[in-house]
Amino acid sequence: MAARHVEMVQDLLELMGLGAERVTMVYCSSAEGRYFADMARKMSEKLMDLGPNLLKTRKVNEPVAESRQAPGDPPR
Amino acid sequence: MHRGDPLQLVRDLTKLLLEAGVVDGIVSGVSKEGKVVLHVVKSADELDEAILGYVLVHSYQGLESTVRAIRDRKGDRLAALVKPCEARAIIELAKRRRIDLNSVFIVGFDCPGMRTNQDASGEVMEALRVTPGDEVLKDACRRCEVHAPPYADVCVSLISSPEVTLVEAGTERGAKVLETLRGKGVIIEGQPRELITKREEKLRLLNERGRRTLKEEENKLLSVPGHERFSWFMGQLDACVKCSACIRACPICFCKDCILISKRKEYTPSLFLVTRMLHMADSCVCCGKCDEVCPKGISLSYMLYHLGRKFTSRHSYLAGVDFSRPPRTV
Repeated sequence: MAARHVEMVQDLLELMGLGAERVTMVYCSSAEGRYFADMARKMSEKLMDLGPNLLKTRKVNEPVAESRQAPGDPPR
Repeated sequence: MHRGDPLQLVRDLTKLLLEAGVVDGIVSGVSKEGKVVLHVVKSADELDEAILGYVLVHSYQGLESTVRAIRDRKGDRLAALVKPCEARAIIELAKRRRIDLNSVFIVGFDCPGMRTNQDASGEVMEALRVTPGDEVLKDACRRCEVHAPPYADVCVSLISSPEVTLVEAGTERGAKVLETLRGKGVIIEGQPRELITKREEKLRLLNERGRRTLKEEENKLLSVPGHERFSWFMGQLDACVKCSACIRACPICFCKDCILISKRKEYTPSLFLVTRMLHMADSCVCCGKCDEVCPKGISLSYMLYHLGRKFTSRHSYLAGVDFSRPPRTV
């Protein structure tokens, strides 16, 4: 169930250009403390490499795109 | 099959459904002050004033829709005249137990794609017969992959011939109704082999066109670099004013207490749309009602359907066609 939601979020991030690799799902029990810490560290490092996400770096009040047009489409 | 005015066939069929007590009401429309408003016709005499075919093509004034009318009148036995997208929405709602299929008599129509509302003109039944040209085709209909109702008690098809309407039963209930119509001479037994083949071929081409458009749009979208894609998406999402018209128009949105409409939680405009996308994109049938009602002209069906199909095609799921597959995010 959660896997399906994570999948959808990954699909959305990819469509939007943010990158599906920013979200990941890891299966881990409460007894596997070290494994959890390792995975969290690995994920943080990966995110540092990927750089700040576009939601932070975008300028506010960017011009609104022409509606009903897909990116790369000539204007209708 | 039926010869003659298909609108008369619809009138005869709905009259029979009421008189024989198969349903308590027909979800239809009446003209009030020059607009078509939702009206559930409860007696056969009222049928003459009802605008039976009109709502299939042009929809109602305001945020009404046939599917929501059925959903909100749970307990009444109703008949619905619906296009494939709406029929699929009924099935998706039935999977979520918001609609009881036993109390809905579905009259489904083959749909060649609809014109944009501004271009709506001409006879209503012609719109269900003739495939619109590319320039006037509604945006959502471009990528629609299901042009025949996957489930209907009675299926009506106008796309194979200008003079003959094909009529077929999809359930036992539908078969009984058609048998009575045959007895009254409204329809003739049998369907010409060549018209059946013609219909199947036309449906195949229409479905293929939808799949091809979807694939082309996706390839075009993914070929644009990430940051450009992102600014386009944010431009669309930021334009949202959270009016919730898309939620009220959507035939899939089923929550009695929608968290986006209630004031319990603060949403930024982009999060408003993204939340809706993640809640129902897997069931999106690409009917295009959200596009039509959005006051800011956001490409909602484009974003919703692409997200939905990206996710569901990986699981070989198509919304509203297969009863045995539950929705993917439930």
